[in-house]
Amino acid sequence: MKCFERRWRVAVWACAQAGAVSLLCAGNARADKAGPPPAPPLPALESLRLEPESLVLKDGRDERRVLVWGETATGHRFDVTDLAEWKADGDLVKVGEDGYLLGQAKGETTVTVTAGGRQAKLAVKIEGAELPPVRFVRDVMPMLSRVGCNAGTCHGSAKGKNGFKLSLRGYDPEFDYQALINDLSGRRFDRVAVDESLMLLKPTAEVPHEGRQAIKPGSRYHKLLRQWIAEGVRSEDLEKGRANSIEVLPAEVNLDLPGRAQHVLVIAHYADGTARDVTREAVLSASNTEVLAVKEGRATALRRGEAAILVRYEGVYATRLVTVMGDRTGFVWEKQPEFNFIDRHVDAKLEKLRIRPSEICGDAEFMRRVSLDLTGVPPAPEAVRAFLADGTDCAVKREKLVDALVGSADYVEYWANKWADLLQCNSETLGEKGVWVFRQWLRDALARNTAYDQFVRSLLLAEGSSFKNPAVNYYRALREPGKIVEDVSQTFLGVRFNCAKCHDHPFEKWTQNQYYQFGAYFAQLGIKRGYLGREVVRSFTGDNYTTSAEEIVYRKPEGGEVQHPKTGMNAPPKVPFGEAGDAAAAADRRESFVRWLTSKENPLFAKALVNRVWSYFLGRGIIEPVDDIRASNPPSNPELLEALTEDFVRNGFDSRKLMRAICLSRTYQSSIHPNKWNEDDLVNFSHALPRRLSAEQIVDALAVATGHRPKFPGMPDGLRAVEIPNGMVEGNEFLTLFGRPKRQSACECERTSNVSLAHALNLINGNMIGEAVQAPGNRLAKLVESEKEDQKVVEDVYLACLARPPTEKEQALAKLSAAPSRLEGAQDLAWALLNSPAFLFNR
Amino acid sequence: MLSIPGGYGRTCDGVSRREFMRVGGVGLFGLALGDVLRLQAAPAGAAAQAKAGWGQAKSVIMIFLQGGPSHIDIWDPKPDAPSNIRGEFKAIKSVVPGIWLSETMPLLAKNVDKATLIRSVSYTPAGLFNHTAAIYQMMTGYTPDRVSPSGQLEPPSPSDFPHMGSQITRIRPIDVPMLPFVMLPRPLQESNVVGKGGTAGFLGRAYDPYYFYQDPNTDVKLDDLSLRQGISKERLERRSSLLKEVNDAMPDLEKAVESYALDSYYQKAFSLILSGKARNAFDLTQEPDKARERYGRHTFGQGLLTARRLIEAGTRVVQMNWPSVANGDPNSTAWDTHAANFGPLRNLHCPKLDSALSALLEDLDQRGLLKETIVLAIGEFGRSPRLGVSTSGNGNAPDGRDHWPYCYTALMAGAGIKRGALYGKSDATGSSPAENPVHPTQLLATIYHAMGIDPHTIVLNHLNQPRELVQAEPVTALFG
Repeated sequence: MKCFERRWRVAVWACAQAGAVSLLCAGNARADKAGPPPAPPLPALESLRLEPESLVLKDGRDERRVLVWGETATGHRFDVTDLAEWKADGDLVKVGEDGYLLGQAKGETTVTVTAGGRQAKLAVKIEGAELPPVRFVRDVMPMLSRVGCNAGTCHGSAKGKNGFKLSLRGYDPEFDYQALINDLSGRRFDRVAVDESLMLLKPTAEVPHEGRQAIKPGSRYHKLLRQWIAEGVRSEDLEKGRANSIEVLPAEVNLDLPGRAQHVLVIAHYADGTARDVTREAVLSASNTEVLAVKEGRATALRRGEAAILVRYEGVYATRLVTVMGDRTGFVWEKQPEFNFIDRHVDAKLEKLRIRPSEICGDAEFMRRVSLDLTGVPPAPEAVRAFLADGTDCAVKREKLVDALVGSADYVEYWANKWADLLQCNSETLGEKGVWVFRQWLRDALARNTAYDQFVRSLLLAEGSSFKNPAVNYYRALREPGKIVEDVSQTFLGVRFNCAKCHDHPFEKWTQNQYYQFGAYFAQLGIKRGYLGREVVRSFTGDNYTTSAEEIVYRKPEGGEVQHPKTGMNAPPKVPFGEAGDAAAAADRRESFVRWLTSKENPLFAKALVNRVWSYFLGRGIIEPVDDIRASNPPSNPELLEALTEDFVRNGFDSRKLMRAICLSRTYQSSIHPNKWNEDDLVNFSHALPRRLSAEQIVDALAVATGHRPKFPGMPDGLRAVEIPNGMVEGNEFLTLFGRPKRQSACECERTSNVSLAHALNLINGNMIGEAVQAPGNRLAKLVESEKEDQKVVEDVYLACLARPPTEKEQALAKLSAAPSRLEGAQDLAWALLNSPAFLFNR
Repeated sequence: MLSIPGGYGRTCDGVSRREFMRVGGVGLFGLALGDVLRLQAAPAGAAAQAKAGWGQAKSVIMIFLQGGPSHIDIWDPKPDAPSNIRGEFKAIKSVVPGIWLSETMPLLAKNVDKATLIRSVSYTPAGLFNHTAAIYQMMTGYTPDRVSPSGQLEPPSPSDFPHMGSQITRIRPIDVPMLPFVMLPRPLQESNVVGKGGTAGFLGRAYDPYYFYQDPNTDVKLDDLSLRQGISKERLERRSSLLKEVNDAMPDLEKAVESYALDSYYQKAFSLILSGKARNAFDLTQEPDKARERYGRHTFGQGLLTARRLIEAGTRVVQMNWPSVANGDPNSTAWDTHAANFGPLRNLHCPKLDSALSALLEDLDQRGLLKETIVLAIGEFGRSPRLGVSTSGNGNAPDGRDHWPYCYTALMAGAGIKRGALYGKSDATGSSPAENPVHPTQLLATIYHAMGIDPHTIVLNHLNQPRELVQAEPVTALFG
């Protein structure tokens, strides 16, 4: 949320205090000498509230704690769990130092809580105090994870450690159980002399243990482990032992100032209806370590902003959003005009965070911005003049403009280019003819405004000749089930699946099984040589292969399967979440996959596209990066994303209506200029973000400004940059330097939009601007020739380069006469405007 | 004592008082307009200076062998180890008695008398075992804390720790119109994560390296670095001042795009074009054919030759990245020899490394540049001594080697680094350091030290939090 302060304020001082850092620690810890800010003073409390308000303790292992809230006279709540003192009424319940309550005998009692001079009573019912049997998955595994036994650097490494191997972070409990029980011929446990068990002696470091003392003798974990061994090291049904879900308390975390802390509780729920407090075993971290520090079940605010607490427990995940308000003294929310439903959701968030949105931008800015975003080209000078002169209501004329642009020929080209990026339209894999026919197919689909679900359907179910049905070129680009899994999921679900190829995802729910089950839907696809064309292409991306220009994507009559690399068994087709129809029932396995993928019920399909499109217009996804949707990367405004998605699905997956709604929102039309109350906001869309033009946009905007179009090798004359069908463009370093992707990956990140010294050198001195400005007979030459009045020339150059007339001050500054000739003067002025951020950015 | 001759500052001068220096407007290089460099030199500076090797280097050449080359098959042969560790290559004698190299390095064996081999580089990964995490640590001195779900790092971010070269060129700006920090000929990269660890991060984009991502073994395009035909020096200067006027008339917009550091880039770009020094440095046609042959007619060889020319022309830090995606195909370009080790090393990669690195050492030495240039050649890790085992979770061919950060080798030379020496020692199988383990961050500390910069110098990050350049001590025993 806070923008990066580029004040270049930097201190350097040789540091006497920084003592020697041991070899092992060097580089492992960030030097955070500042530490979290001190806790701000607590306001006077009126009363205490407990969450939950009462407890039921089921058995002797059901330890619980509660959150203690202090309420002020104004109704504000503060977490005072840290300050709480506990006094049990009688001996039925014992309160540990860490605030956990443990039942001692059956019965009912009260615990008195005191904090900040206030009191509250906690009713506790103890249903039983006996220790239930210890089970491997439910009890022992979480402890092994917590203590770190199965970490990647210890026994969870691929080779294990010292002959003892566990699955990485416990993703394979069955393997781990077998490893514990059977390895070393079962010598890890001595069921008679329990305390002599290697499994107790090692972690307590009573015998040498490279991992040192991981479990303290006499601790809760030690007792648990001991009991498990004494009971005969039993395991239970995997499904029964694993938590179904986890619940995080409190439901909402709002911290007023840096330094304020909040305890969270993590409750695991099991299939048999029982629950357990697992806060101490769960792994908690912060999604943004600049805003929040999370340690031992406690989150501390570091600065104003938003972050999520990410909670992970035995393969189950949850997140809790945290808002740190900071000092907003003097802020008053003013109701903003709502142009459509988008603004309602954006404003709700802004009001909550006390952010004031910027004013809406001017007509000239709007026209340039929306033209670039919808069609990739800025408006021509004549169009700008007409739009500015149009006296009708601003909202009416802006709507008219959007309607004229959406679906226009330029729109079709621009979005065909975008999809050609995502679908990897690239002659290295598709051949020369392949890229042209595929591009034409995309253009047709966009011109017809094919509904998005239908578009994806025809793409993913395509088969036949690459010349006759160009949609098969997508499969030609991907070629094998693994890449199909990774790219289809990243492109159409916004989910990155690639790490599951080799192992279960370490931080998310995706598993290696799912990867191969997903791949099985595409296992029966074959690609064979066609008869037309002689061209031979070769891939540098995956395995090398040669092929003809025409290829035929077909279903292998003999079928085909994907093998799981660990088991060597065929992976059955199965979708990674939700339910798809029986793949075997359909003639083509893909049929059931695509039905599942494009269904209205699929929670990610429409959402991923909506989020992606939003990012193209606002410079940032509601989930960012747009193709990295996961529990640990929550949306900045879930309600907004939900509303946009619903609207998109209700409109029949109509991308044009989606774009129209975005462009007509006040949110989209806000100015790039921030105010005091939103200058640190980069994620809530309170002001527009200036975005560097894409490589193609720069080239095509230069043509508008100067009338000169560069020639691209191998392409017809007069082609716009955005029309080039191929990812590989030989002999035009400009496009590459300015980040046009070669189209070798499904990642949005393949296109770059940075600025560096090399960019500055090229803009100042390179061919692209140099030739456009200098070209004989270009727009500038004609203008100087026909227009005798310098003022008019200046005005026209501004309109052509920046899509706005010059201000009076600018008009006064621009003296064509300063140059040796009027033409040189006009060229130099155009050159300067084309090098200014007003040209280089969509603003 | 703090002086700003010509607008560039020497810092860390060991005097314990605070001075403020306004650098904006006085110099074009290394610092952005309006920057305020706040300096405080403390007694620790004096202590650091007293140690061997302090401040002897003027420039740095970092040869970064991304992908993780096999230390046993290059620098640290183990002829007495079992065959599943020893591998296919024999050990050969070098020009220095007692230093043996793998037979893959015949030319380096003749030039190792100019360098020190550190055979005990070692660390234990804090989290992931992949390339990018390791690369980031080697470049910045810090382990990354944000990992994407693909198990790889997230792409470069403005809050990343800065690359060592960015830190050095900020603290030691150059005083000639030249590129202060150049990275070539391709980015740091693992899969889709491009450039992580190779940016100025929280120092701001103005301190990013100049990325020269072209193949120096082909005709490189240098048009952008020299005055365009038909544009006189006067006209370019006129345009430059016109651009300033145009931008000054739009102050709000300038502020809105402040984070892109356009001003700083444009200023540097104008001076570079007008001086032509950078253009000439990249122009290898100015080198005799013999020199070009000696380095080797391949991307890596011509890249190191370019590095020498850049240093000669005044560049402070050059980083030459091995020209391959770190986790690319070993059978074409990559050091990442999971799938095949010996064939690719013998036929493809080692000959290039051998010719280019030996030529660079020889060339720098002959020109007297080695005295003031510190050279480090290193990968992000070594490779598993045992063949065909998995250490990273990746699959490995029977003759493949997996990632091995626990023990590997670095080559260092120049600026007082001992000539023809060994430092540290690996055990009998090259699996772990037998003596004097060196953390990769200590190598960074050593470079800072050689540059006369206290490695514990505090720099404020984007949130004004104090951060040490690197949390490690220099290995001063390397100097002598």
